[in-house]
Amino acid sequence: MCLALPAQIIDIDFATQMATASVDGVKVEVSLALVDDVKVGDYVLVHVGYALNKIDEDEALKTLALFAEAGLMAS
Amino acid sequence: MTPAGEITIELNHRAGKVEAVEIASTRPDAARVFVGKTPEQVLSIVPLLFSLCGNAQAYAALQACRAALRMPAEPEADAAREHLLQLETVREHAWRILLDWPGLLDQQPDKTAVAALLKIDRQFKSCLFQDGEAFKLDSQLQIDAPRSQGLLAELTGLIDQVIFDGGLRGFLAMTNEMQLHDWLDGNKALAAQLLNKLYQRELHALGNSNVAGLPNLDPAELNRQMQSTDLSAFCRMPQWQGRCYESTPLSRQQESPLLTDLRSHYGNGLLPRFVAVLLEAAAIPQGIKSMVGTMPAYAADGVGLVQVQAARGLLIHRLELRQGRVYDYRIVAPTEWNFHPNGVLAQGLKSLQADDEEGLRRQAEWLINAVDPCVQYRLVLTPEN
Repeated sequence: MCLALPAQIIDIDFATQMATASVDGVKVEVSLALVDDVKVGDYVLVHVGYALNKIDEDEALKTLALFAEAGLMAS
Repeated sequence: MTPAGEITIELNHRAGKVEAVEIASTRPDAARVFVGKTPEQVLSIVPLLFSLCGNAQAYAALQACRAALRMPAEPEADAAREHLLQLETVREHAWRILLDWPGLLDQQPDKTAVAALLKIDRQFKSCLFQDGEAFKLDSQLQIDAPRSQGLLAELTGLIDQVIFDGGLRGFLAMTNEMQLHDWLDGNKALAAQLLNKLYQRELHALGNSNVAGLPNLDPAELNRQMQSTDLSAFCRMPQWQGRCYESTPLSRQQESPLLTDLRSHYGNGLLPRFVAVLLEAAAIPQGIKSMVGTMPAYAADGVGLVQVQAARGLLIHRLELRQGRVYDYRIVAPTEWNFHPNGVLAQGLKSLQADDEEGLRRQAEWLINAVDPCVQYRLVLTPEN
């Protein structure tokens, strides 16, 4: 099964619609082409290089807690 | 590497030929998070964990819970849920076509079309269920037929425009390769450009192997086989009656005359694979439902086992309840059938030949994308001395 991970946006290059996001402390480059109005600090669901949609912080933290509970998180 | 894990595919090659293939997965067993939870809690967690193929995962979880709880069938609501599954399959196919295929053609993807596709897709649940809650034990069917039909028309129109350049109906009407050649002649649609490129580069049979399509699995026999083996091992590297099988759009489409003709020439090579995905993307919104179906659930002694057809192939959920809570939960995703170390991808990769390493890499990327475009993978090519 494929998991889409909540990632927090830490930097955005608006010219290229690319962002740097943090997933469990791992930095990944993601395209923001499929989502609107994303800013630094927001959480997005990331899969294979694309931010799929923006999610609120509560939902993101709840999901990350589930990953941690399942022993999937390093931190 | 992120917690989502990845698949490492290593090709050892010599003189332009693949000598050996190794496939290793670090994809996690996320289902263990369900242990100790009530069915209601499981169904609340599933959408958070599985936002990709979320409808298939949620439907499988719901049906597994319902089976384990011996709850009565809900034929009308389940028909609506299966409708959502089919629409998800269309979305998954279409957005990968729109994002990945331009790259295979050295073009830039049309991200506006992808965003439009995702926007339409997000609205379907609320057209069919109260508050858009489709996959809970107490979900209430509430169909807004005019809005649902309007969205379907919008989805079909978008796919027709951005993938088929207005030629969707013509594509669906084809029954043999001769007609496909006619359809492709001078056709500038994204679908046609990709299929034409396969012919031009003589890639149409690339990756052909003798790994058969997964047959329908008898639910009771599947449960017996899962119980009699190491469940973790079965979920990581599933086999049926001691053999590897393919579970993809191509393997589940047995009734398409066009695919029957193409398979007779190119087996399970690239051309039939891409055509199978296009057929599902084109046909499902038109109301052709035979391509995606479900097997009956298995229920006994607190065990619920279900099989649903997700976009990439068969998805199995099996749970065991004790005292109202999950004692064991297993998920077998289609990726694990198709990326099995001896499965259809491994066998297909072994058949590759090219002039140099870069050529082999490109062929491998085409084949991996055709078998499952959604998998996070790392491809390593190692020359043998």
